[in-house]
Amino acid sequence: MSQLIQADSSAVYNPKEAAAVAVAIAWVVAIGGLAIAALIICGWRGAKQATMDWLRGKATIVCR
Amino acid sequence: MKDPKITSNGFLVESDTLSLSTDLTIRVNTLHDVVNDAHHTLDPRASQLISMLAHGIVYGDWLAYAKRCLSDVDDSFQILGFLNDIGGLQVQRTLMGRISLKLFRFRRRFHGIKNEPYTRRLPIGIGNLCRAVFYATSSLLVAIVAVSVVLYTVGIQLADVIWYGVGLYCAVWGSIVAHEQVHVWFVADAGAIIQQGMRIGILHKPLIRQREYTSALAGPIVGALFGLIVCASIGEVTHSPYLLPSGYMLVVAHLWSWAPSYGDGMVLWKRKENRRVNS
Repeated sequence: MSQLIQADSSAVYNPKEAAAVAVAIAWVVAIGGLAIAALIICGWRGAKQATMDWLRGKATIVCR
Repeated sequence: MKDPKITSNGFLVESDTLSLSTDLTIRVNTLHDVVNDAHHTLDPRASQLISMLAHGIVYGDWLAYAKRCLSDVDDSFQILGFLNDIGGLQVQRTLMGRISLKLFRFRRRFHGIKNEPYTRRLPIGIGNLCRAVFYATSSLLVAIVAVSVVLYTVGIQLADVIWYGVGLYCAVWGSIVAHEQVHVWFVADAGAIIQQGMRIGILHKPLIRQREYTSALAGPIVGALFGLIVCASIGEVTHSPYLLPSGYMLVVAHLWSWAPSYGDGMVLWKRKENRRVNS
């Protein structure tokens, strides 16, 4: 390919911002994990509340 | 994994109509990108093939001609790959083409083959920026909908689930628009929006160092504040317990752009390195 096109080395084309979207997806997946944990723990009854204490790394799930 | 109607690039279908971005011009054997003043040198055969795209051509016809011109058909895919990398290809596709390409890309992904994402180039403008950020966050939207269904199945109140999903997506989308709009202001509208998968950026001519540095600092800060304020406001009004932590997450997400491997971070760390070398 280098025989067909010689790209201008001074030009920068890579789009930049993926950090915000990637971190947001990781966050949503973490929330999803908490929800699935609530489903497993509480079973068909479901949960009244599921919260996460991010500082202490503790999840609290209150089943119905 | 062969489909005769879809190329090995995995982002084009033979029925697509291809054209060249209006930011690109060909003079003799040079491809000039007006937006960032780049000059790419072309082999005469590549120049001829790229010139054919200038006025729009059906991809199948272009490929047939390229196979006659080039000794190796892979060279034609590499020409298209290069044009795609610089956001130089504009594609018009039929509904059937969209469906067949989505299925093909899904099958490839299922077999562990990475798909080449299409790179979209749009003129600078708030409407185009909103559109580009929507495309970049479409996978996030799918994740939010899926997790919302799980949350509702678990027994979380429907109102909480909806407020959380809508609030989070609006906060992420709005914060990225705000972040990029700051960069657009520093470029003074002389550039283009480039979006590839989850990645989005502003293509422009080189800025003076101080302006580039200020832009790299200001963009993430504005994005972070916007996201936090939206999450905190919706959380306050709806009493949803999930939104304020999401706001903090958005602050981390935007300030993560300052890491050396990301666009804004590269600018900041390069300046720091230059100062260290000069001192």
